[in-house]
Amino acid sequence: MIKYNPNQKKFLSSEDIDVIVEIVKKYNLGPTDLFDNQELEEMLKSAKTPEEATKIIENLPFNKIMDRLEEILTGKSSLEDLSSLLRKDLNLSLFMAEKIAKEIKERVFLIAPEEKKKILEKPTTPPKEDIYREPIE
Amino acid sequence: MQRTIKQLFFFFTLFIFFLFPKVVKAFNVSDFGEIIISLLSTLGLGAPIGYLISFLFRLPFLFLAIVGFFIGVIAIFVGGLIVPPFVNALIDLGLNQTVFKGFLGTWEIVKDFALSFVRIFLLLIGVATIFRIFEYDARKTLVPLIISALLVSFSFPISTTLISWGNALTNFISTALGVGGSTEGYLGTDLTEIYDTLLNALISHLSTTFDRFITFTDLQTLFTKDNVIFALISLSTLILGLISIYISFVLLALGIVFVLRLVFLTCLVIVSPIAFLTAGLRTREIRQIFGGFLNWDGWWATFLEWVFIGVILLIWLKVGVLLLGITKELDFKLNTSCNVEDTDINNVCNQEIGFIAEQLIKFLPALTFALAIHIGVKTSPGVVKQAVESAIGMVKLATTVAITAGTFALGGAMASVGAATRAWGAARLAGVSRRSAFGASVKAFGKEWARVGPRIGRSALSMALSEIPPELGKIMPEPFKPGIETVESIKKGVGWTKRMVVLGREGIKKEMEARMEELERKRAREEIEEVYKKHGKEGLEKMIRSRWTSEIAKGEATKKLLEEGKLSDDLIEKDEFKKFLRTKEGGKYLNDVLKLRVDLAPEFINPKTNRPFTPKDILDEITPKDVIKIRPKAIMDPEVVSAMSPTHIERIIRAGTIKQKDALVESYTKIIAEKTGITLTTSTRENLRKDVSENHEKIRNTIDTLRESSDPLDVNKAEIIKKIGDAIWQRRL
Repeated sequence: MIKYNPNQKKFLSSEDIDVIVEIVKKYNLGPTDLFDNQELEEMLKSAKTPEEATKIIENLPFNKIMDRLEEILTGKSSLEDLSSLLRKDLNLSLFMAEKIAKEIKERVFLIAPEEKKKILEKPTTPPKEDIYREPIE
Repeated sequence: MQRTIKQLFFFFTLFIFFLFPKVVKAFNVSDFGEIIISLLSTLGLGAPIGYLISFLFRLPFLFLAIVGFFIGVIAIFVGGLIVPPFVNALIDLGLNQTVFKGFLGTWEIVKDFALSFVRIFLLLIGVATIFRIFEYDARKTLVPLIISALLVSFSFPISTTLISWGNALTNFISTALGVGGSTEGYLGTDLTEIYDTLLNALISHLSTTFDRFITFTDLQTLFTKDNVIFALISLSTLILGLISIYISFVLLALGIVFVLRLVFLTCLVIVSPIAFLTAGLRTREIRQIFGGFLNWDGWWATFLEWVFIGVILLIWLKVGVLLLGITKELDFKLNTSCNVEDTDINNVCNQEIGFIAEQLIKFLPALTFALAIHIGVKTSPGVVKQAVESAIGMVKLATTVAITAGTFALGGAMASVGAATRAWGAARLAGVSRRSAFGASVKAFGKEWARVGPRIGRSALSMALSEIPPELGKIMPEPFKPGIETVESIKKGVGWTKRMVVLGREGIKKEMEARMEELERKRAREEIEEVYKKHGKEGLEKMIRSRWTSEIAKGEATKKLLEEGKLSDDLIEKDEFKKFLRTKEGGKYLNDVLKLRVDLAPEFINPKTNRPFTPKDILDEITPKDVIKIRPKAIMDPEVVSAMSPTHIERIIRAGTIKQKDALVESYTKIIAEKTGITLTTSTRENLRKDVSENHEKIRNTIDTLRESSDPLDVNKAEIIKKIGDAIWQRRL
């Protein structure tokens, strides 16, 4: 199980945000830019009042993910709950929410690059010899 | 009578201004000079008038010869008569042991002062023991304190005994090496030969000079030979005279070192009680009170240096005397051949350059002797070394200047000779009279003055000096290298004179200024390194702000702060610093400073456009990598941010410091306020994001409007607003 130590990270770096942008785009979750974004412009056309437009922007998946990640970083939520939070916020299937949460955990919250590498590569370790079992002759 | 004179004057004027030109025109004669010379010839006044004309060309060379002669006389007088006995007396005085006794009273005052410290410490130990404060430490200090008291009380006999050992050793070395003694003195008798050589050269030169000056030879000889010999003789006298002065300087420096030895040792003996006190009590406090050579470490090192400096110098003196003997026996062959087109000039050139070379060889033993002492004197401690180097540097400079003047005069003479000879030959071939040929040569005199001469001058001088240093290099062992380098540097000086011909007067002036500047810059760098090491950036800032600091030093200090990345905003904003940046020296660093504070760009004039800099002028020179060096104060200026490229903004967003990012946000809010009238909340990032989201439409419309503008700056501004707005929303800022 991947364990996140809240002492390790206090804020998201520009590279972390790049990762989130990439994930949002990868899973077609919605716009990641506020300006010059055709998709957002289409969404905002349905808004009748400025308040509704603001609501649409605030509810964009990218914004929601970022909100949840900030909560985790400030200790208000747990990293373990990320998938359930995403499922609820973004109205995703369990499988999709788990998948996105796993990718975010691996790519954003694992601090040490060596550790990250180890998990991603999943090196095969030879099974330990059982000294108590007698060999079959 | 008066009337007759008036009439004569009238007719003369009429003839000169009206009739004579008409006659010339009628006979189609274009050369006035030819007519005048023919007229003089007819009247039998050729010789005296010819001499008077040539007198003008003889005078500068006579002047040069007189200067050379006087320098030679000074060199003989100073070097031959004054310096040797004076130096011997100075060395004797420097080794005098009785002087110190005269300062016994002063030493006692210092001793009592030092002992008063011992008493105070004893009292403190007593008090500490009674009240049992640091009892163990106090008792531990007792032994060194007693040792200190003993050393202080006996510091005079100890230090004077050491000096007497130093003197005894110096005298022993003097006797063993055979330098010094009551009859010959320390410098020996061989030196007089140098001045005999110079004196003989001067006498022969003087007689040759006056012979050439007084005797009326035909003008062809004057231009082809006499003046060249004049120039060469003057030059050789100047060179030999300056070498003699150099030798005198070195010898004088030797004597001065011995006198300074006495002065320094006297001072060191007087302060010896304090130094001995610090030897026993090696506490931090005592070291802080008595620093430098009052402290044992400094005192002992300085004392030993000065006590035994005599031994070292006498060894070098002996080396010099030995070299004087060795180099006398060496047979140097100098390749002296001029490469001049004209055969006559070539012969004269070979003859006289050969003469200079021979004279230099005669001086070589003396030069090697002086160089050996020069090296020895340069090993002397601190202040003396600097003084000697300055004195010798001045002689080197004077030599270079003299050689430069000589090159110029010689080159000019050679050129005149070449041009005149060619004109003479051409006129003779054309079948005109001898006097007409003279007229033609006079006219040709000025035409190719500088064409041939510089080349001849250069080759002559380089030949005269080029052979010597390699020969010295062959015969001298490793420790003599500094001396050979000195000769090499003189040679380089001659090389520098060559450039005078190419660069001209203004060019050489600039070159000299550049050299001086380089020297000052080197010193400034050393000082700056020291100040930076001791006082850090504050020390350098103080230097820059001081009105007593030179522009060059300010420039170097600014450079250092820029290199270290420690040029503070406070300093940049100071009026005196801005004033410095507007100077020629400060201008060198203006762009680098403005790259940090782009917001200040409009306060300075762009030399390329002659208008104030715009932030864009500076930003265009900043690479994306260096953007993060821009100070937050500059980024706070919306004008600066508006002029940045999207790449610059991207770099600050990704790699900038928190302060830079905050400054970027502040500028953004100002730009938005100006363009849309919306005041964005910056109290928290969350509120800012919310404001940006709420005003999305207005901001987007502003971006669209700016994009449609014909002003490229507005189009750029649109991209900046978009970029920063997205970054705020994405929580990158």
